[in-house]
Amino acid sequence: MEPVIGWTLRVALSLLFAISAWEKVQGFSKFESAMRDYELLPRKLVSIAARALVILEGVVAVALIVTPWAGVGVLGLLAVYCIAIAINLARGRTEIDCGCGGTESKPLSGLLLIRNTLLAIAGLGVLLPISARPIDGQDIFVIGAAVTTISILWSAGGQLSKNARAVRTMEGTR
Amino acid sequence: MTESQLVSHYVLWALVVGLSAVVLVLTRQVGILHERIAPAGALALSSGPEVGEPAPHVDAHALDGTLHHFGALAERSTSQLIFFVSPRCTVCRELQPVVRSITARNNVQLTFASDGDELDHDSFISTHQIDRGDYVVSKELGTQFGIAKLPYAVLIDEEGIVRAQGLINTREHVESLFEAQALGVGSVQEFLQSKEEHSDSKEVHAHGLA
Repeated sequence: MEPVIGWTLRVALSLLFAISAWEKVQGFSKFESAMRDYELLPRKLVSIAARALVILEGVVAVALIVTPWAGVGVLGLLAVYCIAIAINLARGRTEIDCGCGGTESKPLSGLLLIRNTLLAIAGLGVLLPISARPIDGQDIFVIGAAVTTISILWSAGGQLSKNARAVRTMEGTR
Repeated sequence: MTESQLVSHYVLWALVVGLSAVVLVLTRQVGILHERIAPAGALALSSGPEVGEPAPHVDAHALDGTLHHFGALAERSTSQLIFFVSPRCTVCRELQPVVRSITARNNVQLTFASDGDELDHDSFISTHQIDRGDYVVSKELGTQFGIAKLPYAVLIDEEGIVRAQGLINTREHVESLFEAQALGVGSVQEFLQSKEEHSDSKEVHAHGLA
């Protein structure tokens, strides 16, 4: 794999997990109650599991910068999230908060599964062997610019899905 | 790379970053527009009794065994707010202290109504310190009032007439129910309709429900 692409994926994923972990720490009680609503774990285990997930996200964020093997952690976390979401979608419980972090509640939807699958593909990309081409200043510029663009487009995507929900609520009331 | 290619490369990256920033700002603005045009009050969605009609008569037991009478035949000295909740719904949990403080301020009797698994209710009540006597679990109540979405609130006056009702997601929505009762309009839809009919008095009404 071309090192510029490999590094872009690693830095972008690392940023994503770092922000996600930070948001969950900020709103920890909200994250905990969201996890309780998933109804997959006995109540007593939820608070331990919630802490473990936040710590794991933080560890994966740091590890991504250190080693490409962190891709395994990315895949593992995303697999857990996808299974948890899919089970509750199958139960028809779309009204619960996804616990994705942030101050606003976000309901479960198939879109989350697609999003997480795309992230998992990026996680797989991280695991591919990187070619030995040395990185110069030019490459670092491209990596920085690409990560910036991805971050901006990521938040635009989040805003778009929020707008889509607003449109749906509006249609439901007309 | 030649020098001109290099320059082009930097210029293009600058444009790509700039362009995505513009896209982000645009989506944000669309989001803000949605917030502006969204109704500011509680939305009436129920297929049950309309505002102004007598509430259906239902008897239901609270968790501590007290029998509650709902509807037109029940004698009462104050208005009553039935707050339909589910222990699983996040908004219900976030909103219950708000509903409690607003009903207390307006001197309205508050009753929580829910259905489903007993265990869920127990932990919901103990976490939020709700009086077991104010918490009714009854499927019939929800059916009679035609509740489809939660959290939903129905405001009933002393005579058992439904005065306001709606889906409530924010403090403003809860307050809009009491505003609606004071103004004599049943719901946001009714208010918007009357606004269209009397566009002259728009200003006055807009301050009333905003």
